[in-house]
Amino acid sequence: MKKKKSQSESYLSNIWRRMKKNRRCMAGLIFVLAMIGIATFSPLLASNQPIICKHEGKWYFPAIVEIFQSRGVGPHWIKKSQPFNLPQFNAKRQLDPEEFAIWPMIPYSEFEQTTEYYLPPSSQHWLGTDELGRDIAARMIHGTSVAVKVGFISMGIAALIGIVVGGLAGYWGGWVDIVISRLIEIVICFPVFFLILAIMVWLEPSIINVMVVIGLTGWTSIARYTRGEFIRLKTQDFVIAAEVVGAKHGRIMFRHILPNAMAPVLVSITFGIAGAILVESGLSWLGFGVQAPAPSWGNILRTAYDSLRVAPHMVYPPCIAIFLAVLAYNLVGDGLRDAIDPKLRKQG
Amino acid sequence: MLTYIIRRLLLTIPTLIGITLVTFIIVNLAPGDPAQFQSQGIMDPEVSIKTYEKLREYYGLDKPVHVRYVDWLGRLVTLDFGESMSTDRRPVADKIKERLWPTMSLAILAIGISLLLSIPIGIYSAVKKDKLFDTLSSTILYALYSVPSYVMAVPLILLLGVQWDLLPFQGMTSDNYDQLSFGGKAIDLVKHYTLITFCTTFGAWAFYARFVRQNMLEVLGQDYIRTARSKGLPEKTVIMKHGFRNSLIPLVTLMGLILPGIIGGSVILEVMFNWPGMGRLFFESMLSRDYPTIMALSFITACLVLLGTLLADLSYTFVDPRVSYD
Repeated sequence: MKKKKSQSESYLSNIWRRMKKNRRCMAGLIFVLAMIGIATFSPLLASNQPIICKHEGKWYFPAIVEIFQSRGVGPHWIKKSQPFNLPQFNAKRQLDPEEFAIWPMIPYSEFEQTTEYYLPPSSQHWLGTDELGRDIAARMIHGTSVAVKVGFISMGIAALIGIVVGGLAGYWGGWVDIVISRLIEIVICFPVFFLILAIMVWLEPSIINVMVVIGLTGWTSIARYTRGEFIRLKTQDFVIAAEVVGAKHGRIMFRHILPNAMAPVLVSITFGIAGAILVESGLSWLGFGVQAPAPSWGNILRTAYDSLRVAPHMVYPPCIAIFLAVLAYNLVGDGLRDAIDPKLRKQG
Repeated sequence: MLTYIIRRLLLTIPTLIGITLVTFIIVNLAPGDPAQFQSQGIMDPEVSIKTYEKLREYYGLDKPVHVRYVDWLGRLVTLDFGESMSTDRRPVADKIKERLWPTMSLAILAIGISLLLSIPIGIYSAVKKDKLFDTLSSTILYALYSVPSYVMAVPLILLLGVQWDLLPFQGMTSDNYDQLSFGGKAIDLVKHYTLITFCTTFGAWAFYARFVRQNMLEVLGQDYIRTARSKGLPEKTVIMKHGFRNSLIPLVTLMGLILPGIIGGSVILEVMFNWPGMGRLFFESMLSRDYPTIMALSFITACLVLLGTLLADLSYTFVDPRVSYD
């Protein structure tokens, strides 16, 4: 293989190198990755079905199968695996000598109801139980995926709209810019929560709708950043060079300008993710978000609020989780911004 | 400068029209109108349909959408928000008027307190950069900034309201408010205001303090500060007169921008604290599909925000003579 010629460091790897030096930013990034990990592998962490077990001479992998099945994606071999759904073969079972099982860390599923209502934290239920006797630790773990999904998907939608709209305004200028800038100003005038609530009322409350609505209302700051970057970059030499060789407008916008405008836009996306998590849990708290019995941090907080006097222990897990998630995204966003703008960093 | 102000004011006209359009479209294109909402409880299908038709006629919902929009706009110009479509059928203006003060007093308190608290902290930590106070306050403020207001509210309600029973957390006044003496009334109000004001304020406070510190650092690195120091001015004068005054400029713009956050965030907090403000009224009208109230509230808040940004923009030109007006 030909050895790569040493070349000057690319823009992105330069930013990454500076981000790596920022310990707070890295801590935030690690927390975000941990959240993604927990969300992906939640059945391995909390489930009443074993991870691996031997039952009547056969081997089963129920929790692993659940990872794929509950997410609707499954390679061929997972679909063909023997179904294992034995309610009696759960974590409370006394194993026979020839049986074997490895249980998840928290041997309860997020929907499993027991008769032990509002138990305070104990060695059995690490974070206690809720009004239906469900294990709060299990519900928190399974609720993580909501926070992760809402953050990424809603901001994905917002980024798509924001980049296209902002890019068009910045690149074309003139009346396109005037119209789009007015549009952005109008949307900004409505407090985000009013707008989202107004739309959520006429949609079925579900996680998909929450994500779409947050995305549809949260694109304004991304659009403003993109517009500013496009205005700054469109007079630069490399853009003029691209125009001279006859590149089409679409190509100039998305292949030449956009990659160079991406970094500041990424900062606003990162902060947007923190905001989306916040809005989702707020909506779930009001009853317009993720619907029971599906767990989300917001509706766990709601149950906690409704039973403050009987079960004070329920308040802290969702509060701390939401706080840490928002904090982590803010840290990453700040780190990214400092890495992009060395001038700010020196003063920081 | 006058032309700038006039142009800036003219530019708000299309924005205002856009605001009315967005408000109207979101509310009126939603499936399920107030007539349907109020007639769905009737068991007899025939009576239910008849009631539905009657209610639609009563509310004027049987007219085409564009006619209703023009009607609504025409009344809006005279500040007539119409009659509520909830079961009490009171004029919307009255309903909002009694809810305006609880929310606006909170917003004013929040902005005032956060400014009062954040400016000294911001300046002090900028001057004593990287000393213990700065590191400590920066860390705490950063953490506070990342706590959503309602996430802060629930543990506070639990600790101060329920477990230690120090402060009330439902409504604006106690049940026996009318029987209290004047002093008792004041104490009662202050007690009810304490928790919700704190929850509305702390986010803006943390945000401002970080902002003041950042600006102050930027200003203190400027040449004119070095000049002021080298000509032997006392450090206090350098910081307060030369430093702080110049760091104020970006703060002015921020004031207008913080308002939508406070009003938007008020929905959850007001529902949580059972606070008789606009946020809760919005939530209640949403649930009962009370079109005129929803539209009036969205319109009023959007105008407030527009006014905020406008004032910020204009005051910017007064505060900073370097800003060009073209």
